[in-house]
Amino acid sequence: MKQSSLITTGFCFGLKPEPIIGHGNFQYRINQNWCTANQAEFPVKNCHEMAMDSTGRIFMTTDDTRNNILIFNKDGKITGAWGRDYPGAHGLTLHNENGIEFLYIADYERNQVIKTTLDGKVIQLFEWPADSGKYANKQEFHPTETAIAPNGDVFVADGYGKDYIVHYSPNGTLINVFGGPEQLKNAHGIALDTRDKNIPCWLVTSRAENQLKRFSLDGILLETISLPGAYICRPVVYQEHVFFAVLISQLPWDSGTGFVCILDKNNRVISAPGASTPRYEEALLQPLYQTIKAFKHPHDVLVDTDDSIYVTQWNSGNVYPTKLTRVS
Amino acid sequence: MNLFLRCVLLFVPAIINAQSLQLAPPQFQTEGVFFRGKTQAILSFDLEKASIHYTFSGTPTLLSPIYTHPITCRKSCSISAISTHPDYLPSIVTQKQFIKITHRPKKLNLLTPPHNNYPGQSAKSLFDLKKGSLNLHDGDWLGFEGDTVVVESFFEHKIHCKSIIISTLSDLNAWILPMRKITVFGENAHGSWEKIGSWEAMDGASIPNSPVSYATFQAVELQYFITNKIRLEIISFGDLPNNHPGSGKPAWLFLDEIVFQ
Repeated sequence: MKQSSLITTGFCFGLKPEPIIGHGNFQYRINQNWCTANQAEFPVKNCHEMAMDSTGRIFMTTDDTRNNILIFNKDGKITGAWGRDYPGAHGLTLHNENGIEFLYIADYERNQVIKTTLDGKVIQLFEWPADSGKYANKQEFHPTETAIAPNGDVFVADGYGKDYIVHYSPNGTLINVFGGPEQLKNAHGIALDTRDKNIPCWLVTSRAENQLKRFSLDGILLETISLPGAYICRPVVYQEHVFFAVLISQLPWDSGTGFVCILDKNNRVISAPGASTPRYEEALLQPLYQTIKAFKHPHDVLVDTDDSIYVTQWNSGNVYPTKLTRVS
Repeated sequence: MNLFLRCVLLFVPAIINAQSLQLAPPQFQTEGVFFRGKTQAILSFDLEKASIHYTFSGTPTLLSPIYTHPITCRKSCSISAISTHPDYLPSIVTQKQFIKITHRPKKLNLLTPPHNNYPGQSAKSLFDLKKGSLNLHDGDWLGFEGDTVVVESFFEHKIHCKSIIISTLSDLNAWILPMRKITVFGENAHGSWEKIGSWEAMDGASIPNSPVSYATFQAVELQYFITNKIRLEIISFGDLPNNHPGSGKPAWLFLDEIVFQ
């Protein structure tokens, strides 16, 4: 499984063709200019996460409080913007509740998760889990991600706080906490994994350990998936695969060594666009590392229905998302 | 629009893309820095059509040797390498030092205790051949808060130690700064300490340009002296300077290995 570097078109006149990154059947053409908006009109600092609504609009969180939510069409044009009250706008999850779509914004600076309509009206706040016995005060809670259970319960990853997964009822009542510093190191992301219909589970990032961990819906640790070299942001389950952005492949945190990663249904790496060829020796993944500086610090991926991937980046020079178009 | 112009417009984005993407540097797979006897430097860069060029001195270029197999190091050396590919810009240079240990002490006495938060393995950390990582709590680093660190080393037989290398860490944001001065003494035939070498920072107490340097090695050349006891006095940076957020407080000193050559 080799990482291609080129497509064959474009060789005429001796010109260099566009680079292709990725491995096997998951190779992509890079478009770093997918969005060419005016930064003065739609400023961004760190671009954190994305979600797509049922009409194909792409919502993105940025911590620039002049427009915390940007809305793109699939051509990269910004068609809307709202939000000035989310200084730590980070996690973004879209959930369809009886035909109406809502956003859940995890704001690590406000120590809250905020549920809004798609046009920014605040519906509900999910506050720090005061009754859990795990937190002394609000300032210890820095949520980075939200995921919604099949029954509508809300699960929040405290990725920049104490690494607990906090389980709320839909109306915000605390039900449970699990994970925590004994089981998770930098619980940056969480996703519902229903690929096995019989055993739905949570996929949770333990970013500093370069691991994904599977938890039962009620919080029992089921499995650890080691991905050396991958400081995983959040897992995104799409069809039978898991996609995620790898912020860095080696410390320090601003090393600029990120890439994108794709797992198969058995949670084995089958492609790592921008990184070394995934290789397993005796079932153990050999450490991945960046090979092509297509990204600096990728922070999230959104997989489109045509298999394109949109990639946001943290601390990468105020850039809009990069688009990867699948070519194989 | 004529055919030529159409072709140009079609391929201009491709030219920009291909030429602006840079390669990441190759990876040193050899984790260790310190060795006895000989060691192998292993490099990797797993990308089709890519090459690794390396050199033992200066900056590697496309004319430097191409890495094809592990490099055997029988003496201390520094290897610099780049990755290249016909369709991408070459990487920046990556560099790694390999430091040979000639004399290994039978025992080290750490007369200045490390801070409770960074005890490492006490004196053992200083001659265990392990380089500390960027994780300051990895057990390989000894951290001292603003102290003068005194270490005494004892060898089984009398040796002629030509130089000493001290491995430290510099991390400006973590308030960890380089040493200011090192003085080395050898025990003479009368049982008293005799100064046999020293090093002092040329620019006194200036802050290093690079915010993080996890592999900082300072050598001290020693005069000819035969002994089986060597004492080091390592003076830390001192107080953090005015332009630092921790101005006036003592800088930390981190040590992970002392090499006798």
